[in-house]
Amino acid sequence: MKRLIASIAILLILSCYLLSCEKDDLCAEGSPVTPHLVIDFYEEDNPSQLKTVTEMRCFVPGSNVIVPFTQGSRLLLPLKNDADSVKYVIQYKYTAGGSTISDTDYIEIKYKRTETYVSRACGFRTTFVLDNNTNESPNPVITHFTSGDPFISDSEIVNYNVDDENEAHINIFF
Amino acid sequence: MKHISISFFSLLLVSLSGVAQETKPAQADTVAVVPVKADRYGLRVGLDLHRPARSFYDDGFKGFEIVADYRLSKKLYFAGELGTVDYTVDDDVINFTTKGSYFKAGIDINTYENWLDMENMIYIGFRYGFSSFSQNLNSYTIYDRSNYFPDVTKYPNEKYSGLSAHWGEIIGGLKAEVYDNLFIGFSVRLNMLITDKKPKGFDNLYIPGFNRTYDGNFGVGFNYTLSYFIPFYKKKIAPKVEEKKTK
Repeated sequence: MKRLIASIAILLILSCYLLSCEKDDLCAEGSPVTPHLVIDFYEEDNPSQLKTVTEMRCFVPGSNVIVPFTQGSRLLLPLKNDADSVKYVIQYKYTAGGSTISDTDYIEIKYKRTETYVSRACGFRTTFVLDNNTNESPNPVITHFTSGDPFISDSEIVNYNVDDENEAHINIFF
Repeated sequence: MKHISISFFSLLLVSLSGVAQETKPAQADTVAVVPVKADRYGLRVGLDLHRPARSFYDDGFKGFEIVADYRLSKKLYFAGELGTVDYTVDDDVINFTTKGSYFKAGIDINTYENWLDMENMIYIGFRYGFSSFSQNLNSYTIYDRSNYFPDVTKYPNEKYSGLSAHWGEIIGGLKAEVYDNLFIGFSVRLNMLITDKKPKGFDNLYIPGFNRTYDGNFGVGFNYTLSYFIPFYKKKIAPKVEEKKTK
C-alpha cells in the first residue's frame, strides 16, 4: 500500500513537472523575421567610397517618430506590412564652410509583399521584392522637400529581394 | 486555472484511492475463506474526466476521450484510447483552430503485486497513436521587430484539411478500484512524433491526441479516467507449492 501511495505521489509530481516545462514562447534573437530595407550611403564624387553621416533624421510624413539612426553609412528603414509602398522624409544635416546646413528629401520605395510562416513564437513575417526601376516608373522615387533638386543625386537598387538584412538593397549617392 | 484543476483532480484521486483501501479489508475477509485464488479477466471501458472538465472551464477547448483495456494475461493488457478534440489556440502572434479525432492502441504492463483479490494497477504502457485532423488559421500578427508602424493583423481564415500524424507513447499510470468494478485511473504520457502531414505554408502546432508540438518532435499528455470493469471469465491461480510437487 505504501508503494501505491508513493507511486501516486511520484506520478503527480512528474505530471506537474511535465506540464509546467512548456518551452519559452519568445521569438528567439536571430530568427528570420520581417527584414528592414538596408540603404548604404556613398560619396557623390567618389561612388565607390562609403559616406559617413553624423546626423540624419528619417520619419514618415506626418509622424513625429524617428527611425533609429545614430551615425554611419547604413540606414535601416522599416517597410509597411500593409501597403505596397512607403514614403519617408530624410533630413540630412552637415557642416560646410563652418556653417550647419540642413537639407530634406522624400524617398518613396515601391515593392511587392509575401507573408511566410516562421514558427509558433515568431508567427508570420513579410518579405519584399522591390519593383523595377524604369524611366516611366522610377524606384525609389527621390524628390526634394520643396521644389528644388534633391540632395540625393542618384540611387541604385543592388538587391531586389528584401528577405534579410545582411547586405544593402539600395545605394544612394550624395 | 489549468493547474488548479489538475490539483483538484489529484486530490480527488488520492482521496478516492484512500476510500478504496478502506473498503478492501471487509472484502478480503470473505475472499480469504475461498481456498483457491482466481484472477478475473474482462473488458474495462471508461471515460477521461479531464477533457470534459476542461471543455467546461476553457472556452477554446472541446474534447472527450474513451478508454478501454482488455486483460490478456496476469500482467498484460491490450489497451487503447479514442477521442476527438476541437481546440482554438490563441497565442501572441497566431490564432488557430485544430479539429480532429485520434486513436491509440497498445499494451499496459502491470507492475504492481496485488494483495489477495485486489485488482489495482501501477503500470507502464506503450501506444501507437494516429490522428486525422484539420487546422484553421484564424488570424496572425506579422512579426516586425522595428515596431515603427502599428502591428498588422491578418484574418485569412484559411482551412487546411486532410492532415494526419503518427506517433508513439510511453505511459506511466495507475488504476485503483474505488468501488465494485469501478476504477479511477491516471496516466502520464511522453509522446514521440514519428511523422506528420503538415499544412502548406503553416505548421501543426497542435495535434489531437498528441497535444502541443515542440521543436524536438516530443510532446506530453495525461488523462484521468473513470472506468467500469466487465468481467468475462476467471482464471484460477494455482498455488506455487503444488507446482513444485509436480516437478
